[in-house]
Amino acid sequence: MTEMAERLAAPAARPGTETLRRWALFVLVGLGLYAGLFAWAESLVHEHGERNRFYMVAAAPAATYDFALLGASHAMPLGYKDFNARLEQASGASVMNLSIEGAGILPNRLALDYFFARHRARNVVFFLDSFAFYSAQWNEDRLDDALLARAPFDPALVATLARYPWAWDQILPYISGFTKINNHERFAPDRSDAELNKFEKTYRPIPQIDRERVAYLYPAEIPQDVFAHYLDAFEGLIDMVEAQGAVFVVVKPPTPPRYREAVPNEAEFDAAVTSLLARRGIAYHDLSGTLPEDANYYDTDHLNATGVTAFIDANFANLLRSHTVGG
Amino acid sequence: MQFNSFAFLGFFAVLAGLYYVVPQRWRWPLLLLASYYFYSQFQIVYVLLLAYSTLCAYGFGIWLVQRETPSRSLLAVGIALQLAVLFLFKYVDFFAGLIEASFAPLAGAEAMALPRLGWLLPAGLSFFVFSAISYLFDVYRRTLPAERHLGHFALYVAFFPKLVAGPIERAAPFLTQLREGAVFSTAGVTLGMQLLLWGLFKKVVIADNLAIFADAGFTNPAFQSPITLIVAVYFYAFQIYCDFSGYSDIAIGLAAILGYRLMENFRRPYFSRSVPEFWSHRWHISLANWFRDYLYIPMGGNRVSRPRWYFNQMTVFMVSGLWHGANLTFVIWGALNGFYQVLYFALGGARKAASARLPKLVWGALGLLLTFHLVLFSWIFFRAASVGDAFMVIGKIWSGLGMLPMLLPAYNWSTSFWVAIGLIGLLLLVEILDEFHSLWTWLTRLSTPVRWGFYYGLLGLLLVVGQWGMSRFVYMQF
Repeated sequence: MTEMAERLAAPAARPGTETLRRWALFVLVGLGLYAGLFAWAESLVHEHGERNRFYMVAAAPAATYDFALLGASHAMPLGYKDFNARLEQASGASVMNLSIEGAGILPNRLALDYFFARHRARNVVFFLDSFAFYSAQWNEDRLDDALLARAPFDPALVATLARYPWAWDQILPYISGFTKINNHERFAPDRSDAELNKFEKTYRPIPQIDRERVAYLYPAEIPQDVFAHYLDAFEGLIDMVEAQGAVFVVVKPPTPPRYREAVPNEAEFDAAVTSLLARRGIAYHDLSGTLPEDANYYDTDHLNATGVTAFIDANFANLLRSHTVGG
Repeated sequence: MQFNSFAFLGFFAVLAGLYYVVPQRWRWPLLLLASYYFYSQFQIVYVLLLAYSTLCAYGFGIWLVQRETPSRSLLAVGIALQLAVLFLFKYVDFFAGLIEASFAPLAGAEAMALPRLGWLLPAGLSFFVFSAISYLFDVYRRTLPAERHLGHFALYVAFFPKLVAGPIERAAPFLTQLREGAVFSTAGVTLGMQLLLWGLFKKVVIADNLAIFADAGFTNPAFQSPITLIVAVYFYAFQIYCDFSGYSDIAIGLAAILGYRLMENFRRPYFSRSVPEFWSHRWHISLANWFRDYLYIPMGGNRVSRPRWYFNQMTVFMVSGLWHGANLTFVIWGALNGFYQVLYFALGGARKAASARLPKLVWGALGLLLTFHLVLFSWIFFRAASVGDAFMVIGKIWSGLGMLPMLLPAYNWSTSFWVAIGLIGLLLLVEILDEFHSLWTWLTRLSTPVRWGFYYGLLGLLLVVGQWGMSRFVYMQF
């Protein structure tokens, strides 16, 4: 590196005023350009945010909803295509679906906390999934860049993130806008692959894929201390909902029997959760067996368009209506 | 803590600021402390290995010069103590597997089940062990006095910019700079920032975007189409170059900001017109020089009979392969490159005759293309998870060549693909400019708006298309 040697061999000198001024100008111009990138990324969020839960909360005018739905991917199909509107029409209630793919108790709580910063809800329906109680992967570690890449800049979201220590490492990338600027899916609509490509399909069961799905979601052995930890977090979520004056309702979503039979420790899980809910006087609806046919699923365990239609018409709209009336 | 992380960039910004604020006498302790802290971020317990390697080399260095005549046996023990660590952490399990496989046909696999250590390979082990060995050799040869200042020597081994993936810096120039003491220089800091920016760009923007395609091809190659594999192989050639040379640029840039000069490690290798040029002058220069000085020349180099010379070449390249990783894929990669070298020299007469018949430009272009493709072919073994996978990739590409016209329309010509092609084009453009005239010198002659536009462009691409926090540097695993 001859050139490098020459340049490094140049007489050492403290930077002169002129050099410092140029460096300062370089940084200032750079900051200006960064602000431009920030604004561009922010505008793309407003253009393509669509299903991102933080975007939905921020973009909707402040309102009181009859229901906020929480949960993981089993609750998401209720919001695919125009099904949220159909659900609202069938139940006569206003609904915001806040469920997040692979989200356990903690990310759901954070999303709901942010929701309450801008809106109110009379009822909060939680779609129960046992896997979400068994690992930090679905909780503390779930809040990644992808979720915040479509979150419009909002001081209320910064305040929400600041309330959860496990979310602190996302605050700086979010405030700086880096998460959005660096979003490689910036021009694509925020809709899951499932909604865009799978939702209309019907799954043909393959035992090996069922096994792989369960192995992906569940640990080989259920860690009882971790389960106890997230059960406490679940009770904390109930406390938060009740403190907001809303009614907490728990629903176990439909899944095919072949899937339920493969899920480990489910009886013990049900016993522990139902005991907690009974103690707290929380309504619990086990609808897991309501749609046993494979024709209702687009993959191992998620409702397809047929399944969502059947679920809304036969069960869920009535369930919401009963809680609206009861409330 | 990776160079391509905001945590590291923050760490370095604080360190560099502090470094120039504290008095000169506190700078080396500060750098030593920072280097050990940096290394502890990978696996804290392996700091002990770094200390072991340093103390052994330091002690044996002094011991070597206390003798009137150089003691070969003392040198051998000093080197053995260094290699022992490398062997334990890197090669024991590999050789156990080889022995099992060799005896399996005779004794049956179960009868030969040897125990495995299963130890995690410490980051950069091969690099700092080789630095320590080169120091011992130089002291033994009396080309370098033994370093008496333990702190300086420890910093030579552990200097964080080069610690985990080189360049494998020699002790003499580094220790001289340490003794002289680094001082702030505007030119050095500017050059350092330029190299840091370009290195980050090569890694985060080019290498990691190409890695998506390379990984797609090399993961389960049996299920990939020939066109996916061809894209993977070509993109990997540029990925590995940008990944590794990007690291070197960052390392040299960081050192320059701190006032130190590290050796050049890459010189636009894909413009080589022969495999010997590639290895001797352009690719991983610090390692090639190491093998030349401490293995090839002690074996006799080229001052031996022709068969022995070829043997020396093959040995050096196979050992180099093994240095890269404890896997047969690396040994084959090394052997292939050794074979290319031997073939090049064996065909010396024919080459001269052919070059005389062709215009210089055509001959040069042919040499460049042939060299690139020979190296590209060897990268298949370097990247593949197993020898079987490598042959699978080669076989599928070979059998699919005839079907390419049919396969091409079916390939997913995504936006990402064209972005990747554009990035390779940009890299080649910069390298062509750099080949004829140093890019950084050329830049300094441009007007401020154009020069700053170039910097802002790179920074913008880093932010917008960079794959941040995606992966570690490939060579850190060696």
